[in-house]
Amino acid sequence: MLPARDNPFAVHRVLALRYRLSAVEWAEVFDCWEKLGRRGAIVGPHGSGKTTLLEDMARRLEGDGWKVVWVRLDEQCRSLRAAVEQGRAPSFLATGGKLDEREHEFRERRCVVVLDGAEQLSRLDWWRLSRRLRHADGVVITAHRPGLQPTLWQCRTDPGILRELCAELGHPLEMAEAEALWTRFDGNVREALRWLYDRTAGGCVVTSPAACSASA
Amino acid sequence: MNESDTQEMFVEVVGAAEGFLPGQRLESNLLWALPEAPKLIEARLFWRTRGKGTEDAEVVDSHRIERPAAAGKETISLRLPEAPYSFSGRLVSIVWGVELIAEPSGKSALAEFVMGPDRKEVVLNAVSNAPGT
Repeated sequence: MLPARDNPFAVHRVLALRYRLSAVEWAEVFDCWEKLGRRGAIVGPHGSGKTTLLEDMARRLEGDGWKVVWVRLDEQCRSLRAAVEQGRAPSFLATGGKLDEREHEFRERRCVVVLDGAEQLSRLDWWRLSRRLRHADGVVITAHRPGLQPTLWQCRTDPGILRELCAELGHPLEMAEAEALWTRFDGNVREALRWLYDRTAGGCVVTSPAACSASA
Repeated sequence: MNESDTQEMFVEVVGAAEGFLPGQRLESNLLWALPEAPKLIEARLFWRTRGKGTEDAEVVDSHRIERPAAAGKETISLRLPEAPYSFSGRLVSIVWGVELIAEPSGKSALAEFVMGPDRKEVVLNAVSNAPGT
């Protein structure tokens, strides 16, 4: 049995993988963002690296002296109110209050709001948030489809990327296997890596004995 | 196992190779040599999960060195709780360690060790497919 801590596809190792952009491409992303009035969306399907790219971009912005304000949404947290309650968003983005109070938060320093999972918001929530975001110096969101903000970067995956990531994790794949996995999971690299975790763990990785018997 | 994201920080848990019992005190040697004096050096005794799911972690004891010199060394004592034991299964492992971190730079070093009954980690083996189990 391979202990969980030694599995090359353990979550902490996968989360340490960074989005693959060259220095030229990074320059293009930030140049595009400036030209779009420092507004933009990273779009792409499930498991294509949107969150990873957003985190990498946020890290670079912080290094340039920006104040980065995070909003993290997902299928378990789909509203601004829930995000605030769970500590995934600052309260000043979700609550009412005087306009000048909200402006103060944004004017404390160059402030960029990074919103992961914008597609989770209802139209009303998105409209409310958009009004508040007018006062931010910069906005970057992730979404499955374009439309909420100008598209800054389109995330795509291919079998070659899956193969590169596996090599970086110390578990190289043959190209044919990478192609088969990529196809099986419709390009969702995250799910492919989770499947590889289970396979590498060996045997029957189950959450209940009944599931193990069914798959034997 | 020792890890460091820089040559400037080092932490050693004395006797790590033998493992520790629940509730035992452990000694840890701390060493740092930074380009500038940090505001704070802190050693944290913690456990964390590793594996397939979202990581969980808890700091159970710590030792703070306020306004230290840029370079220094210190031996400290930290107490382990009764649980959780070091543990390994296919889906999750619980790993114990001492982390040395400098603020505000965030530079750090880490030493892992085992804590459990008989100074060994609990290992969860595969679910048996034998009839009647």
